[in-house]
Amino acid sequence: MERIIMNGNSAAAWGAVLSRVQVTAAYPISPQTGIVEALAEHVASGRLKAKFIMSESEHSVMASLIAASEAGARVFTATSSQGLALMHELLHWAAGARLPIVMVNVNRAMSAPWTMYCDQSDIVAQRDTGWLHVYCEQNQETLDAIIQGFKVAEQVMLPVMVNMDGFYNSYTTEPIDIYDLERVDGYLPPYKPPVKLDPEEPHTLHGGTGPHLFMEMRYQNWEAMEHSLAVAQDADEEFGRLFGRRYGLTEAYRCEDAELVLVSAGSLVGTLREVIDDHRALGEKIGLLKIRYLRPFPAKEVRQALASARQVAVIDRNVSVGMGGVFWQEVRSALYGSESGDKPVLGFIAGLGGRDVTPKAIDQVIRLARSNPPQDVPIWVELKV
Amino acid sequence: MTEKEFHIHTPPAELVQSQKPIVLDTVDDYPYKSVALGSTRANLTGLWRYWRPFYQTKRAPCDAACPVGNQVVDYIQTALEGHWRQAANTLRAENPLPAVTGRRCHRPCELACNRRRVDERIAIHDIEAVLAEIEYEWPCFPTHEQPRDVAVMGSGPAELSFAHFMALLHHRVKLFEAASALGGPLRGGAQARHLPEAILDAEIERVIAGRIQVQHGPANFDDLKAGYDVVFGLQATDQLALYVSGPEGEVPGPARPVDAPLGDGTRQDTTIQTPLRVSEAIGYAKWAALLLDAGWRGLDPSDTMARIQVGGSSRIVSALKYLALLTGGDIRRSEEVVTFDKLRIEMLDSGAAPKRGTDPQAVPLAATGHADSTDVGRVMLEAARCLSCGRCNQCDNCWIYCPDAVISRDKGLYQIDYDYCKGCSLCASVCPRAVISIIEEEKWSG
Amino acid sequence: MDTENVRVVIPEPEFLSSGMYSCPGCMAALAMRHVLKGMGPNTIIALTTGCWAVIDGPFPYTSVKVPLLHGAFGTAASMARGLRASLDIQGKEDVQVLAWGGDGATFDIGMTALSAAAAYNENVLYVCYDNEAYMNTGGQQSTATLPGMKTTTTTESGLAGIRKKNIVEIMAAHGIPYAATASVAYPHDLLHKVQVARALKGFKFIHVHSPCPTGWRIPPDQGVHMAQLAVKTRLHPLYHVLDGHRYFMDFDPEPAPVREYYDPQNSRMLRLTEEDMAAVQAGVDRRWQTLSVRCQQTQAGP
Repeated sequence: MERIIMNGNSAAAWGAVLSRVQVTAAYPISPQTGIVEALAEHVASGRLKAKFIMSESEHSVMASLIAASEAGARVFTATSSQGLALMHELLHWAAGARLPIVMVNVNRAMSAPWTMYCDQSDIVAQRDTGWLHVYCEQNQETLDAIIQGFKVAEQVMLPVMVNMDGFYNSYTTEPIDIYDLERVDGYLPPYKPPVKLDPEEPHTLHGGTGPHLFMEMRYQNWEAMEHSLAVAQDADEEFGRLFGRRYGLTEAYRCEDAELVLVSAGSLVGTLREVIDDHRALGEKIGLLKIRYLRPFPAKEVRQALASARQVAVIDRNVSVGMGGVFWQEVRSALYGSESGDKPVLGFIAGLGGRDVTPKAIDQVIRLARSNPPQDVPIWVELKV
Repeated sequence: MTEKEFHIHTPPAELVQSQKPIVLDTVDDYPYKSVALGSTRANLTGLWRYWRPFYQTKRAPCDAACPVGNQVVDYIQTALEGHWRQAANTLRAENPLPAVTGRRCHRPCELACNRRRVDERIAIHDIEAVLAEIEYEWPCFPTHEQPRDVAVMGSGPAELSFAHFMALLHHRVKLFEAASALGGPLRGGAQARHLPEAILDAEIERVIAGRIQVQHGPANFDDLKAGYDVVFGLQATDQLALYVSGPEGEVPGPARPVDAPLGDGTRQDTTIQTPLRVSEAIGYAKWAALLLDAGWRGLDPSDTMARIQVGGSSRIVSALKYLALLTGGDIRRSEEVVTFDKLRIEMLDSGAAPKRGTDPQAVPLAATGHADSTDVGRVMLEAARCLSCGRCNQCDNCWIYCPDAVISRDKGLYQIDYDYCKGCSLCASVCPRAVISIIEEEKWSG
Repeated sequence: MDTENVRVVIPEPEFLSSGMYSCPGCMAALAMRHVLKGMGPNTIIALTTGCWAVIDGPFPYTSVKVPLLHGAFGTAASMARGLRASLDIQGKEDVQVLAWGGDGATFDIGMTALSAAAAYNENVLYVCYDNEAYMNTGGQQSTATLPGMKTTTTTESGLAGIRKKNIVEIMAAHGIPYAATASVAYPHDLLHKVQVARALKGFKFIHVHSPCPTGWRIPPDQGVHMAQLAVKTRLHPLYHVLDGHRYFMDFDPEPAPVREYYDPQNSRMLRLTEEDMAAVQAGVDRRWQTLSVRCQQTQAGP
């Protein structure tokens, strides 16, 4: 194993290398470009024995990977915002086709206004495509999530999106553990699809499906996603045993006796940890719930972590205009009607379009939360009004 | 959701090819992704059909024009497939004197030939002459319970033809010829140079040898009537006469055969007793012989004539059709004549190379000195120009162009799978030679 | 015809089952039938949305006996790239990849993917079956619709609007090893082209003209006849281009005036004046002239 200093994009590319990806198709878009370039270099150097398809658009990227996966190869790519949106119809397709594709999304706000900076609006808009969603806090986690992603994907035959924050994760340099390939091989066996395109055994895939058949086909996606909760859990635990790191579907940090729990996902969680510790040092009963998997939604863990809290504040780095932040909606939905559904769940919108979410801003969130604001509308943090 | 066993349902390795629909009852029957489990053979597209295409051999204009009732297209195509003997048999079955007609006929077949409208008519007479040199067998007709005694006076083309067909039908034939050599008007005359004596002798010998008694010397028609059931021959009035013992008595026939310029093309009006040309004489005698024989076998003559006629003319008949009638064979063949407007000449150059079985240069068996191999080769190249009007020659167009692959081919026969044929009738539209007909599905009687 | 010097025999094996969901007389079905005969069983098809996505049969049935992948609209070429990479990395370089799309999928929505696959010289064969409109959705215009033809979205009279894209020239401009036109009326030529193409490495493109009797409002048995006319009127000349610059005429029949192609499709034509027809004829003549010159230049040598 080697410990190397590198940024998030490089770490993501290494995740693909260690997973022995066989085909990658890519199209550059800031802030993901480093992944594409790193992959090209890995392939050219022979470190990664794969085919690198330089596509002419993200729509073609996903179309190529769908086909490559159907023909039996392990496939990988990365994109951001506009590119992710451009391949949207194919995201549905990949999930419906039950293909274990792993894709890294480097968060970037959706234009217009035109921007390149970080927020989650790109990825949460893909929430309903049927992919698993993993939100990474830091770069080692991203590399690890890619490896775990393939392991989970190839058991449930669903695609996995691994999300990292643009700029905060992608361009931040950290020390990253690059595991030995053989060790990863012990964790992640070669890809053996149950059905693939092969002239030796011809199959026709995805002919028109009528109303009398469609629901059951979609239901199988539902079942697979349900089952992926356990599979993801097991994969994470096994990873922990082999590599010494485990992340869980969620992480409850200092929640046991917390009165107020802050909930978030992504790099923001790193800042939240610091702030929580500061407040705890002042004697405040405050905790943090990191949501790592948005899909499948770990409702049980979320309810458990929030069981004893008196107040919940969800900080979203995205907004579904007209309703509020997506994590806020998901958490409220999970708590509704449960034993943990007895407390106010507040929603906060912060950090859109790359605006830094500082400890000061989080202090403001905590203050606002304690002022018992109305629960039914989200509060915009540090908005210039 | 409770913990339950999670399955990735995979499809069977073999695609189901049956016509039974696939039923997926519960989620457990479904494959985990939308992969096909069976073939569209379960979709019987034949039920869509409004028009039904079917193969039906039709009559070529050369056949319809031939006074002898030759199956011209049949023997040409059979020869081109390399089945020389069968081609010669087909020729000889209808025409006992092909070496003669190949050289002395006025060739109405060539005038009717559809190829004239494309470039040049086929030189059918040359093909006939070449095939006349091939070893052959006379067709085998069923024997007669009561064979008749037949006297033939003279040995011109009509008389030889009558004698031949009576002998073929197992009657006892005696031919009376006043001259020292047989042949009548076939010897000498303006066209004699086209028919060398040696060839004429050999041809007549083929008809006579071992089948027909010949008596040289004068004979009298009325004398013969006393001793024979049938007398056929030329009268002093220069008209052919047919006497049949019984109520009909003497039946006057058309005038003696005359020399006609080869290929002059004028049409013969058979209702008027005008002079017959060589092939017309042969054809007339054949018609008379078959008509008589049908009556003797207890068949209705006019019904029989209707069944065995060729190309719409009641006086031109086919011996092969008669044979099929007597032996219970299939004589279902449309006598609809394929005129030029019914052909699809533009489909000939679709690039489909015509399939010809053997090298036309190969010299056939028992060539009796008529032509050397170069001639035969040249003649067969000429035969390859034949469009095979109304008769399938396995050009494969129907098989090639069917969008649904419902036409299969097996040893030169094509079959339409009516479970799946949608009735688009493209096959009919691409058949250059009008072999495929279409009919409204509900009118099909099978 | 070029194939006169080559005895092209149409192979016996069928790779399509009967019971397909094509309309009676569908020329797209005929095109696939012959292309698959030329490609053989060691082929994977990348099929994009269009008539063929329906013809193949609904799940759980199929009429195709080689592996077939349905994909979203306009992705035939991008799927083909993915298939090629996947097969190659698994050591299956000998497996043929056939991208299959209609004129809509190829000329329009899939144009960028097509261009990329050609520019990167992907080792696949792309066959476009052209029925001159978006037939699967009922017959709206595409950029393959001929000037003066009525579709459900071109209803005014005259030639306004469409100039049919010359897709083979576009492909030739990418410098690919093989770009050719073909027609369902000339299956031996089509088959020969498929066989030549599959033996070459790099990107190959064949533009197959396949009339749609249903969409063109002509009787179901007229597809081949119309396809022949398209070739004879020089609207769809049969030729091929090697390496983007060497041109070869495959069929030079006695020409027929463009009218002969338009007139039988009376119900499909917009109201065209004599001037309109003359303009169409002039365009066809001009293009034939250019083509002839290029062929001659190729013959003359470098």
